Amino acid sequence: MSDILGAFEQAVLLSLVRLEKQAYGRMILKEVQQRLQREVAAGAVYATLDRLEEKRLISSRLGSGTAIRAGRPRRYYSIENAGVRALNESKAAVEGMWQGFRWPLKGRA
Amino acid sequence: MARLSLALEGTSMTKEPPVPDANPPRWAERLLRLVLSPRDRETVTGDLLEEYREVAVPTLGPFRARMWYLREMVGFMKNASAAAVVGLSAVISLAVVIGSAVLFVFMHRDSSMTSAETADRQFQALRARFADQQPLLDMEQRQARAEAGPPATNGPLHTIHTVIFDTRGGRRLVQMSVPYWLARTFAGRGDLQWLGELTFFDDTEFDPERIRLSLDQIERHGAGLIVDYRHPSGGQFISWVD
Repeated sequence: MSDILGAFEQAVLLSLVRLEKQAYGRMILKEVQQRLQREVAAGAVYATLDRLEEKRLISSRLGSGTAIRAGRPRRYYSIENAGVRALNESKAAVEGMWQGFRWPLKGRA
Repeated sequence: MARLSLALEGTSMTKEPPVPDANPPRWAERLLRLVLSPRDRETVTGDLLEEYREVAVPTLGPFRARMWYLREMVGFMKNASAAAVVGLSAVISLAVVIGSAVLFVFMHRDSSMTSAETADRQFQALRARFADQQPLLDMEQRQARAEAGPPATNGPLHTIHTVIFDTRGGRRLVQMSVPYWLARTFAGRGDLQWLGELTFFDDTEFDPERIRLSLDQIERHGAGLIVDYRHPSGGQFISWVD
């Protein structure tokens, strides 16, 4: 079993699942913001993508450049089998931790 | 009217929509490229440019779009690797040091081509100013005079001024005014062994002239004339402190 993914890593991976072949930087950022319902720094998303790729949970390929990007290419990301496995394990681990508790928890005050 | 709108539609169907040519601040993009890994430089700046042109400029206007770009750039810096931040800091520090040094020299040094007659007139005016003073440095003995006379004025020293007529190659008049604290900082133990050490920013024919003078002697002497020297080649050197 791999390490449990953080919430941000899970949001990024789920964005790749949702976006399928359209998953490149800006689209992923918007999807993550929507998923987490808050503003997210672009730098944080790109840093997470780099980290997940180093862990081989995702892979990337370069697309072609367009005029609006001054010919600079897009980097498209896709989730690998190991990434899908890590997502499943993370969800199972969190659900396992919650077993035996009634949600939402009640405060002591 | 209907015909016009049809014509316009026809035009838009046959032509590609124009590509917005708005660009973010160039310096900001260069700074951003410095903190990005080589692998991400093209793709990430491309993503930002796409968002800038397609979304930021049309919805925020050019000024606020630039502000948006700067915010994004700062966000990337926060997430940059420690190595990238150290590298960028080093580049910025080096640029500041070099820029400050260039500015400092520019502000404190002036060099221009001149004739021997013009240089003579300038040196005569300077000698008239110090007519009642003997220079601290005796260039016969190449050391400070024992009886250099009382200081011209009392109080702390602020600036060392040097005017040189350099006859090597082209004839040029070099004028330098260096803050005294800088002399203190760069004079090491405070001993000046070469006449050129009084010039700080320039390479002249006087550089290899051996002398024995210390900043302590200059300070004891106080404000006034330090050197008045004529080189056998026709070159001239005057230095004073105030």
